[in-house]
Amino acid sequence: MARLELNDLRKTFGRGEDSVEAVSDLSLSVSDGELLVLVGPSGCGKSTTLNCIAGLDSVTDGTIRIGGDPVNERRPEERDIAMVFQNYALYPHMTAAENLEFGLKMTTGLTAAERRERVESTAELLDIDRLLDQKPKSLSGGQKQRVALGRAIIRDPSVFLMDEPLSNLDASLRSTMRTEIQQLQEDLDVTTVYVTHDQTEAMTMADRIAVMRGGTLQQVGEPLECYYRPQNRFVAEFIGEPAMNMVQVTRRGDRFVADGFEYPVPKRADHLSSGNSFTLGIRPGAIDVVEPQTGAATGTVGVVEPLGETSHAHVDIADTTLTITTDGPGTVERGDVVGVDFPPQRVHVFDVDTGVAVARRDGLPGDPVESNLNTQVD
Amino acid sequence: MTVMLTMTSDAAIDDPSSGSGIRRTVGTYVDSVVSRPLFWLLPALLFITVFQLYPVFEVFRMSLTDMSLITSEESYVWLENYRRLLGSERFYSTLRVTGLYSIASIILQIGLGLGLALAIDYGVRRGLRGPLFTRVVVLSAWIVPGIIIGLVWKIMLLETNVGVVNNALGRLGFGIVPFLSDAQIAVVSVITAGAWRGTAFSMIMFYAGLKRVPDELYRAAKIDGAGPLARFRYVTLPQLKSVVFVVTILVTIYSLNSFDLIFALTNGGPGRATEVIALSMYKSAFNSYEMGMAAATAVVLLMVTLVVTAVYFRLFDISEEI
Repeated sequence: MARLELNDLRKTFGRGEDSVEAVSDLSLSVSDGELLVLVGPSGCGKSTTLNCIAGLDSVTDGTIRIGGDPVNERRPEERDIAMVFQNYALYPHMTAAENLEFGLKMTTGLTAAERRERVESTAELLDIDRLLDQKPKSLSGGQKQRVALGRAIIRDPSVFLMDEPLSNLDASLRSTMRTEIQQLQEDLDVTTVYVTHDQTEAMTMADRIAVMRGGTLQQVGEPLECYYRPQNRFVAEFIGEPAMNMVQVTRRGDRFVADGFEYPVPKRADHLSSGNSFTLGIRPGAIDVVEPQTGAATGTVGVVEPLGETSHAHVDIADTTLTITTDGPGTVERGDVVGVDFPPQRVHVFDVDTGVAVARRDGLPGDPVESNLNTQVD
Repeated sequence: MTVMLTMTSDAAIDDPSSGSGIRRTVGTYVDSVVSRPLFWLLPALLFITVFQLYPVFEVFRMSLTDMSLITSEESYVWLENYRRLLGSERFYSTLRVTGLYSIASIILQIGLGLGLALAIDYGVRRGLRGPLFTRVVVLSAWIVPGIIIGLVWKIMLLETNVGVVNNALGRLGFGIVPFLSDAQIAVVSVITAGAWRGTAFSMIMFYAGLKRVPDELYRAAKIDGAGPLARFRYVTLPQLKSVVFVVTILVTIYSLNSFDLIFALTNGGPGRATEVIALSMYKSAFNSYEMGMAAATAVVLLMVTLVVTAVYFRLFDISEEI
């Protein structure tokens, strides 16, 4: 177990004019035993970052430290890391036991009997002891992923690296494995970097999330911090399902105004200049349906997507459409004219050009500072 | 026959009185014909029967006769040709040469082909320049007919100062090397020319096999601490097992049946030092005009090839790949 640090990490592919910068000046640290999730859309540099940490890709600039030691020049096996791949990457000609054993065989001086013992205890931990003599071909996706996890665990590494390990599994298995990996990581208490493009995985599993876009870090923080206090519009839209609603408004006096939309400027946004344009962000779950003409805006309900306990309703207001999470069936119907409103602490304000959050809330729901603010505002 | 019967019974069921009825009936006929495996197998079956099975049968029949190119009469001598063939010193000499040539070809072609394929694959995976050029150069050896390659090598190995190789050796201060007239060196020359040509084939097969190996396996092996040799031993080779099998069988078959290159390069000489079975078969047929004897040699060569292939199937456990 160890602390992992990335200082000004930069990675470019290609040379000269054709070169592409995949990761730019990335600085991050992962504490001992922490599970950090690197999340972002395809091509954001998250997998490249992971490969650099693993030693599978060389670093163009910057330093990677594991347990305080720079490892830039070390080969993968000298970095005391283990990796789980998206496509499992199990050796097809070896049995599950041989797959688990291979790393030990290559890197340790253990005897065959000692290796066998380690294989059996790891297999028991992952509940794959009955599968040890089978080859990957005859294993299901979930079983393969367990063997791949076992291959990482068995070497007792300082750092686990997981590259979208669940994306090849079907939805129900994915949620089961998600819990299992989380439990395993807690039990083993190993520093882990987990790469995914799935924000649900990031939210549910991470101790902290690092959101990346175009090779640069957008925000690092605990999942709820990123959800309630996004630093910019990208993070706000990427985290949360369905995505945050965005409305272009202009400040006029003490109100944010747009076509068919009017909302009092929250106290924390008082410093913003009147006459300027902003983007307001409101999460679908924060919006309440009210009587027409009484809230921030009034619109007509379009498509309603029932999900059982809740529904997603799309409400057309002038030329924008807001997605609203409502209570189960019957709350609103297609064609209804409804008013929408939302509490001021749930409003995010972003600069129109840079997308930077210009009036972030001070704390998370339930924080003492936040409770005080709420009473002031409300 | 089965197809025809079905068509008749289908026709009886449908009422073809209306236009759409006729179209439906025709459609049903076509469907019933094309949905049968025999329809799709027939062209291949016909081709194999006419161009392969019948000639094999005819050669076998000829081997039991005293058929000759200089007389139109022939009579069945049954196993006489085989008795003469297996009793002759020449047969065992050609068998020995063929065996030596084949073993050397297999080792060289697989070794060199795999080496080249690995180098090209490495270059491609690393994004280096040159793999395409190398592939084209090596493959050009494969597309040139063996008889021309034999002639080219013959010119290169001429035992005078005009020969490219002897000329070069001369400049380096060596004497003339009898590449084609010394019995032992001639065998080496033939093997070298054969390997030069055949390597292209095994290279392209191995390269195709290497391209199938997922990059993630190599990455996983690196993380697991496997160095370049261990990655080759534990990842590349097992993944290439089925390709090695196919290449070994095909190279063996090609080598056992080698004819054109050796015919052009040494014509089996000096003496019978480089005479392989296929060449002795040709000589029986077109030098001695003994078609029956040539056919018997061909049948024995076919048997040898079948036995060797059967042995390979036993040696390689490729049940999983197949």
